[in-house]
Amino acid sequence: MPVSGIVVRVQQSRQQQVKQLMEVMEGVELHPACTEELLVATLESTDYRQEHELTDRIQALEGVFSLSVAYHNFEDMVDA
Amino acid sequence: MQISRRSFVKAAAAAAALAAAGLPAMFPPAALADDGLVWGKAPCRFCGTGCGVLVGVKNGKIMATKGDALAPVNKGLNCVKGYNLSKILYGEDRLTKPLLRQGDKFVPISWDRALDLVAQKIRETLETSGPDAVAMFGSGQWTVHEGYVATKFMKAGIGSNSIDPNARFCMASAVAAFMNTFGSDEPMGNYEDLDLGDTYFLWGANMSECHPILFSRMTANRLKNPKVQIIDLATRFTRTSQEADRYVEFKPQADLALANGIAHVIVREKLYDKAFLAENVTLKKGKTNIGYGVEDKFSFTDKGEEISFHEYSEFLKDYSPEKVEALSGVPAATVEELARLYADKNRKVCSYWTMGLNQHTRGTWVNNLVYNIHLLTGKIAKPGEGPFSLTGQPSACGTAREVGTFTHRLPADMVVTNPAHRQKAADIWKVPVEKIPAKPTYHATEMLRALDRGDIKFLWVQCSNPFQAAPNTGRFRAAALKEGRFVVVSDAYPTRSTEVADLILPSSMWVEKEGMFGNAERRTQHWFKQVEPPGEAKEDLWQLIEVAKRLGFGNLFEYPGQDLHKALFEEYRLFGLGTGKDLAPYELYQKERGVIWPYVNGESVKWRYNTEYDPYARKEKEKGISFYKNKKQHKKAVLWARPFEPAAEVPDNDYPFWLSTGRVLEHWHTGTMTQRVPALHRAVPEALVELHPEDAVKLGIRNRDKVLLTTRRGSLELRASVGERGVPGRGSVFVPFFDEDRMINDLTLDAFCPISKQPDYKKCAVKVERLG
Ligand code: SF4
Repeated sequence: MPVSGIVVRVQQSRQQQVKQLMEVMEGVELHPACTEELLVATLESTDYRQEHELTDRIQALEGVFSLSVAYHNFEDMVDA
Repeated sequence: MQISRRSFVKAAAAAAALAAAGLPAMFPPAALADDGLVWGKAPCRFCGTGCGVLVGVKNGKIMATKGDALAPVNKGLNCVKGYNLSKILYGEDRLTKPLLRQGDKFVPISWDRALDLVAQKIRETLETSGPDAVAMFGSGQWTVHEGYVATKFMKAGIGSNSIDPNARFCMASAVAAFMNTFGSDEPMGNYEDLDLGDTYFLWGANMSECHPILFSRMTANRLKNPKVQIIDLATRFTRTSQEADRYVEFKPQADLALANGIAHVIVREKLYDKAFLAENVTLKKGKTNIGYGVEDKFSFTDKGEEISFHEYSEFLKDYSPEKVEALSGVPAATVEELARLYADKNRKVCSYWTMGLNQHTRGTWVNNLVYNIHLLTGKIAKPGEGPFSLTGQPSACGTAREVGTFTHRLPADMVVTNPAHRQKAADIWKVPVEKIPAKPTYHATEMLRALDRGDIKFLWVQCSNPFQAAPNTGRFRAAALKEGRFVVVSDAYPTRSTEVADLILPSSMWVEKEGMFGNAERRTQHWFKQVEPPGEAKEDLWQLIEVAKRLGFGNLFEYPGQDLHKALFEEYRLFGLGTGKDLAPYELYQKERGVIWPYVNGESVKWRYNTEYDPYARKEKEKGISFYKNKKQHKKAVLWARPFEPAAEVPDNDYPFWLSTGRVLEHWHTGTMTQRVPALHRAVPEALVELHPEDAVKLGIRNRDKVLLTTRRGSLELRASVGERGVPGRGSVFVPFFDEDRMINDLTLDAFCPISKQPDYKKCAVKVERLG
């Protein structure tokens, strides 16, 4: 199950709206700390496919400028 | 994953994201310190930005990655492509053994046999056809070490200049224009310009998708500074256009006219910086009607002739805003506004570009024309002000350009045609100067044509996929399979190039080997080997040295008692020391998150040519700008009068549309790595042809309809994309080149800029038909 820590850059005027939409997405945990233009979240998914769909959905939200990855752990996806 | 471990990982993920966002931490860092992973640094390999990544390894496998908080380029963040970085190592079909062609099949053979065979084929070619017939097709994705070994292998070992990289396809026009304008390759500024400027002109660069972290820096600047304006000058509406403050569409090839139109207004309205021009600029015109290189063995040499400022202003009379409107479609009033923005004394202006200007049959010219605007206004080589050519590959600058893996080049901007440069190289390489041939042979496109003609009999391709990426590639694929040619391809995965090879050598990639990349801001970054390559895969550098040993010049790569990578780099460094191309000692790169060159007196020069930052400039004058590398031009930059000339193949009744090619966010270049990442493959499984909605209506084409594209070179069936991500201008279609099952380069034209020899992948004529 991949886990990632992301920073989402949003349009200030739509920050609230983006927050609300992200909060209801399964697998997204918004961090309470944020700024007017930066949101921080952790994403948990069952597999890479779901993870990709999630990042795609976030990026497609109105008011989202960009999604950046700060951390990505996929240790239980790797057959070591 | 245990719950406790999972909570720990989530906490680490949140902590990294908070830190990168500049927000307070939730836990003391010590609480998350021991995560059971061994972390090592590396630059990302998916674009020329050069973001720092930390790679987390356990049990010999990569288990995690994070943005490197200490990396000044990206300060802890990677773009969304960061999700896929490590996955490219673990595709199911990694090449793990040397494979020899037997008829239509490939059979595994031992390394010894493979290397003996390469040496034997090179020896046979040398005997029958001479050194020029032995060729190496290299890469802007080679590490610095690999590029250096390949150059030395070819120029000092084989005694052949038949080496050229895929960077010829992406950066050559930028190189040619940097050289003929400033006498030194690569930008003067650095990425801090993205934080410090207030007016950004993007010339055909889709930065939001192709250089996301840099684009984020620019837009973050805009959030802080309401004065910031981003102006997207382009032929296709993209995500970048959407986020820009202004989108200005011009017709293909008309960037030449637009840039001259901007200069026209600046000169007409006397908005230029007279003192700067007098002190730092000389004016020239070059040859005109210079051709397109579509015929084999095409040759062209430019010749500059000095002109006065008056002559230049007369030349610009052809580019009044009205005339520019007619050529480019940009309204005359807009041309004037853009010129005034560029010249506004209260604005710090930067220009950014990549393939739009470089992949152009007048690529060198159009690069020159953008420099002209900065030279006219004196907005250059200062924090937040200057022209900046971005790169597509992670080491287009560090390897291809700085090491000089081109047919005409040697390290540190030197060229084989200059006897003093050859002598210096021969001294460092400890070979007789006669060993290094004085004449360049084949640039990348001509190299493939020479393979077809039979002038090249042995070709070694490393870290590149030219048989998908070269323009008009159908001709070259057939060439590779002709009798009497021996093609070796070193790669990590099967590609359309391994498919036409005689021998395939399995290569290690990225952190499976030690290496260095140099990014677009002159920052050279080092990484250590962090995991083992699969099976018998070996680094390209090892492959070259083993063949060198078999050919009797292994001594070129012997450094007894020394670490090989360090010794190679320290030798390479000798080329640039004291020339303004100074690199730092190897140990520093091992420690730092990259070091910008020139590195002088223990410091990186952030803005070259500027006395405030550059000790070389201070040697010339007390204060101001000195283009000290342009010795032949009295240390001045050259402003070139370059006209508009049409594209090589313009749409007509039979082929009424423009065809342009490029990338999509999900896939890197020819897709050999990213198509192996299932999530990316699923997201964008095939190349689509983008159409303007009005053109689609006229042709009766709806989204996902099957469409047949036909050029004078071939036909290709694709599905349509209408009104989705990118919208090309009316009368144009756009197709990405990643899809190996739908090779758009079977259709593109191998016309190139006669000065830089870089092909134009952005313009040829195409017919568009709806199928069924
Ligand atoms: S911007 Fe380029 S270098 Fe940076 S993370 Fe994205 S692909 Fe990698």
